[in-house]
Amino acid sequence: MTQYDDVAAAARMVALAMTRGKSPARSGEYARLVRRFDAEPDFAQLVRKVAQGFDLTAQEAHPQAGLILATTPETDFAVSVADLVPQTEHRPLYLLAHLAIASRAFPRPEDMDDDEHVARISVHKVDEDVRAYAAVLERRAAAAGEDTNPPAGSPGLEGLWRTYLRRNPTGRTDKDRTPLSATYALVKKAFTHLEQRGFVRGTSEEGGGTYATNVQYRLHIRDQAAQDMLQELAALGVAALAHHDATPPPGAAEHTDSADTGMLPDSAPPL
Amino acid sequence: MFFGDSSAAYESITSRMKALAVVRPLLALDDSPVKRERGWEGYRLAEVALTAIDCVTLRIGTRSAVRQEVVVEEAAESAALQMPGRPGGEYREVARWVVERLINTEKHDRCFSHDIGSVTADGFVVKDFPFQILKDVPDEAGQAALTVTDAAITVLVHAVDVDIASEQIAAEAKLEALLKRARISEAWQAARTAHLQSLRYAKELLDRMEEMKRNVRTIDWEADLEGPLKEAQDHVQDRSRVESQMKQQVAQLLEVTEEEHKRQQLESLDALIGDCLQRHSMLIDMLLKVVPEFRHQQDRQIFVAPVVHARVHLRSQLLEPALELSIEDSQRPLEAFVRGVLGPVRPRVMYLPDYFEALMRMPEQDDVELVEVHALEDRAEVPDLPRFDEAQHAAVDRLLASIPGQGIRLSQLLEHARQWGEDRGPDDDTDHLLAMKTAHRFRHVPVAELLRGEEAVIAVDDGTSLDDLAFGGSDFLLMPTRGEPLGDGVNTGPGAQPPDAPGSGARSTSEDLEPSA
Repeated sequence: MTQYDDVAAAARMVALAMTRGKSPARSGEYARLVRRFDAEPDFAQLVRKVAQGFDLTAQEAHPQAGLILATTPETDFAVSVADLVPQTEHRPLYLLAHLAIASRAFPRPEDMDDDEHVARISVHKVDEDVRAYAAVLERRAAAAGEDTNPPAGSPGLEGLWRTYLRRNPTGRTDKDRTPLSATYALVKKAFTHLEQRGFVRGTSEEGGGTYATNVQYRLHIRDQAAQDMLQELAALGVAALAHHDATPPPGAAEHTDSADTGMLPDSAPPL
Repeated sequence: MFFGDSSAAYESITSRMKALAVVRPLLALDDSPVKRERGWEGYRLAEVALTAIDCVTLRIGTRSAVRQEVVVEEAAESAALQMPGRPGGEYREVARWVVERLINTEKHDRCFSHDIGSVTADGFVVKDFPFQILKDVPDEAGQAALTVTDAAITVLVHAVDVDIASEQIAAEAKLEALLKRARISEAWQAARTAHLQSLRYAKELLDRMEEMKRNVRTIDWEADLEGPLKEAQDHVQDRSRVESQMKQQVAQLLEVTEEEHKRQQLESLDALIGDCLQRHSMLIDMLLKVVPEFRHQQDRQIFVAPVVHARVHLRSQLLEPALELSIEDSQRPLEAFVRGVLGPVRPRVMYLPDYFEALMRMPEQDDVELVEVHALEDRAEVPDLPRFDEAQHAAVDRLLASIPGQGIRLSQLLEHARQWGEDRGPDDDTDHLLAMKTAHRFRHVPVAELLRGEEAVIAVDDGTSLDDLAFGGSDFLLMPTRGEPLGDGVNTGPGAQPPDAPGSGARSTSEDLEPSA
């Protein structure tokens, strides 16, 4: 009988992990399950197997964020990007905005391992980040005398950075609203989707909207998103080593390294 | 004066400078140009800041962190107290600004810093002293929330680097003495100080537990936990005893005091002591939790294999290479990233309430241009414009009236209609009107006029077919006819009805009317 109860408990844990807004701190049942996951290897294995049945991967059980599940390519539970942004012309930059938000939130790899790390990020700063590096690439292409225009009839071959630079950060339609094509609007949309799914929380309207990240967001990026993207890049033959760009452009080195390594640890020494 | 052991003597100066440095960001709030720019001159911003720090300090006893909105709300109340009668939104704006300055959101690492000199073995050196006041941390559910640093608590209790336990005893003794002499307002102050000391104990314990959760290996049970735990246990025991006594004393005083002002003071003191007692039970609760928590963290951190993951530098390894890719190539990697970030979602199964929700949902602002819906136009109010204007009618009537006695072919009339001058060109559709009127005359012989003996134009089909670009059918012969008035004979008139006319009447009328083109 107990083995069936264990299966029920493991399935329950996966169900809780799939429900938005559930935390071990707010549910005694969830907290007990997280403890069991940590303390009983057999139970943890059971949870992993239940998740596997859904084509999901159980990554870890975190005392604050609960069970962290990752999607596999086969699963039906992954978010459909087409649903998030129906307009195909905006999709590449919307996806890029998500990556830019994450890179602004976790400037150093170790930030993703810091349990106390909370980032506050604004729409304008995210845009500024991408624009700065895109401008570096533009200068580099100009210096090399490259033709950056995509071949006629295949706009898909245009560099992502160039597409970004062609868009204005903001703009006005005749109805006095910012059009979605503006990069601020795309970054804001990415933030809105993150907020709806409980990964960030709006703190103020400054800088086009400022948001604070939470633990679950950090774990999703650390445990899955960053790894998956790295693999996809490797499949394309693009592999950059951390801190060592193949040919670091003069301006880019300043952006990647000095700004990050110059940072002090999050906590101040006690007085 | 520092000639002997200068480093030891200078230590006190360094430590006092550190305390002063922590005060500086608060005082700087009132000197900020923002204050003038936004028209906030009347506010005492440093005092709003102290309210915010108080709010966080008093609340982190019950949990590890406080939501920013809660702090802003409380600081806004203090702003409202300072400047009554301002618009409500302004208080919150002031409060949010102050709270964010205390977090120091403008700096990337969130640290305030101050250069402070100290004397070391190498002589006098100036070192940067970084510190924080309010700090973003994840709360118990992993959501961003605020906590207060030790530095800020020290500023708050305005006691610089003193042994907490001994001040606690001093505060108690003072409180008891004051109560005996019934100097209640001072007793209240003393009780509050004692209360804040308890908070520091709680904070210390919380910090240890947090540290334990992060890395249990950094904690040495005997050195780091056993001593402080014992101390805190003693503290709680003593304080509970003393406070129960004081509560009794206050109750006794309340019985004998009649002065309304003093009674009020006593009641607030009573409430404060009650709060202290409650806080102690919480401390006891925490003390009970420390040992199991330590064991649990040991289990989790030492015996559970850590999650294996490579460290990825998001900017240099993902963002920058992605920007260099073409749109087509970047799609798969970026989609993989976003799917990972958003994680698994529960698929929505359509059921009836969903339809309702979907129908009621406002379209997302960014996607759809909202268009004002006009009231459907009332058909009755739409003017029904005549197909032909009056001038055209007049022109056709004139044509029909001018038909000579021997009659005229429709084809000729059409030609006339198309040539008509007087601001109508050959392209306008007066010929349509003419054709229509002719067909009408063929189908509805103007019997009434003929019977009255009036002249009327009738259309006769003699079998000649119409050769025209726009119309097909018979080339009617139109002729004016005068009938005999009724009574002289039933016959409507000589030559009025050619013998073949009724037969041709069976032709489809539409054929006569429809343009052939």
